[in-house]
Amino acid sequence: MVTGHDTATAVERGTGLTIRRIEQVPLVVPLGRVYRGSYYAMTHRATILTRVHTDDGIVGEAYAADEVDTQAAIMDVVRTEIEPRLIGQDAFAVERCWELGYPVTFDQLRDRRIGLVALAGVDTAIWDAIGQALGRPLHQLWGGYRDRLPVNIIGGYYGAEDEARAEVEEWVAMGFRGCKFKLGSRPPAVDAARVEACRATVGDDFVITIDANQGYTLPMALELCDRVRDVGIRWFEEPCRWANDARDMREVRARGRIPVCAGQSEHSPEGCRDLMQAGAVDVCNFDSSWAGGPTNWRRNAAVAHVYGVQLAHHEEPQVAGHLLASQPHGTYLEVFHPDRDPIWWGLIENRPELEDGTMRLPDGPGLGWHYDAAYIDRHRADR
Amino acid sequence: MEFMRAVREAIGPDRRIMIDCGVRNRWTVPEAVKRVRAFEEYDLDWIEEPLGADDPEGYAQLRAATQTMIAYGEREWSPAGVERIVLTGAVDVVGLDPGRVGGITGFALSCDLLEVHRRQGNAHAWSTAIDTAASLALSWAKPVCRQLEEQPFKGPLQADLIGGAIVHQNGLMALPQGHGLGIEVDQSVVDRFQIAR
Repeated sequence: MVTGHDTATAVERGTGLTIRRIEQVPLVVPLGRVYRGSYYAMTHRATILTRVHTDDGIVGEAYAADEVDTQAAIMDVVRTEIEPRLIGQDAFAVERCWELGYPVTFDQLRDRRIGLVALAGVDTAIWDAIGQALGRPLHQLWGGYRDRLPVNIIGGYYGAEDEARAEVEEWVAMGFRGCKFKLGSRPPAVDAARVEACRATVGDDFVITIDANQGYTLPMALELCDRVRDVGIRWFEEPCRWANDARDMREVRARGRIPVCAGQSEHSPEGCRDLMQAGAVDVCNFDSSWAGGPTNWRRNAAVAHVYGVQLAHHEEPQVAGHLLASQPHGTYLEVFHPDRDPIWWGLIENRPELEDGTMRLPDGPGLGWHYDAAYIDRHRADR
Repeated sequence: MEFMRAVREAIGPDRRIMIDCGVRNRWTVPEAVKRVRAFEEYDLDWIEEPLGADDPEGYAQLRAATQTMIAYGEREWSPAGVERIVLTGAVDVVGLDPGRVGGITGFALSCDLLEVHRRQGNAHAWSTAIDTAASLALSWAKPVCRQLEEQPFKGPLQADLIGGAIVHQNGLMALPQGHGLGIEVDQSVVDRFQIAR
């Protein structure tokens, strides 16, 4: 309906949001310790800060891509394949921009994730530009269902057992009211004891999700379910090994009787749809930063909506918070400890404090984050 | 067939023909198969609602026996309904009516589903000019919608309600201007046709 309000947008001023260039700043930050999950280890936190410069001075800015080994390859894709196609495009035409970028995934001999992560960084920055042009935070533009989310801390990595209790106690002291606890490479009896110890430390009023990172066989996952069924597990993430995961997770749901979460390992909403059609998941944690950005994530949100599946988002709270808060079927935001994600805790100047275990999304336009220039200078990897 | 031939001869080989059977025509499955196969000689772009809004088995048989795109869906009342008919594997173009499928939000959700299933969406730009304007706005925004329909009956709720019907020029529709749906509703027309309650 036509209304009489006078707030001139960039489009109405005739200036548009024409994309002029795309700037990238790579960051690599060493971690204080090695983090070991089921069958993987992390030593660095990396990201790429992407800036989409537009004609009328608005600069869409977002960071994504926790990728150390492929950081240069991702930046090359943006510089040589995406930027040339987007120069001159209107950032408001975000679906068209996405379609222009999507061919970076077509080379089947290149790791498809490189193109998807490159596209995600640009797509997120374009959305930030749109939010700035409209003067609204993205969680409102994407649906506005709520303005705060409960936050789970990701932890419980394998290490010295006597450190585990101290780690969990620190979560409570930091104000968290929920966690995602790592397991999946020890015998289920051992892992179950670790989860029970966590519950004993945090008490009943604390959300515990568990994450095997595809570490167990189906019988192991079912044994783990039997052992922790009374511990109060909100969901069991990626319980089974990758090759047969949809069928196995359906079995875990039905026979293990603990809700199952997966989706982060899918490259597309189509793949997530197949998990939902297979009856494999209660919660889908599709990762926008690994799979083409918020534009693609929101398509999957529509699929989950009609399947009655809840939404989570693997890591990357700086964009996940806006996406999850926007949707009625969004659940918990997940963040790491400062030692594991120094960028979330160090780069963002206006990261909100926890209130009763929840985080209020920023009110500023777009993603709404203010980045610390000195932090960027200290950790940029291109100097 | 005579009519189809006449239309094709009149418009030439480059323009597309779609047939919409509407609510009144109900063919049997064999009749639909026979007709669609015959129409294919004249390059039919899609056949719309040849078996009505709810005949998944019939559509599966028609799909197996013909090569023309099948269109239906405008009488689905939710995105879940859209997902259900897409999963039959027998619909290529899904009709979407914002007045039925859950408003702009339901229409947009449905388009996201169609994107994931690689199916085409097509706005059912019917009812009043408000529904038409919403259909057009969504069609501009969503990649799965590849064309617009012009409502042919310019009654007062298509024309007077917004000070003149939305029409094409040389086969193209102009981008809507202004905020929101880009139309201005004439309250006097609303008053004139309002049903007393």
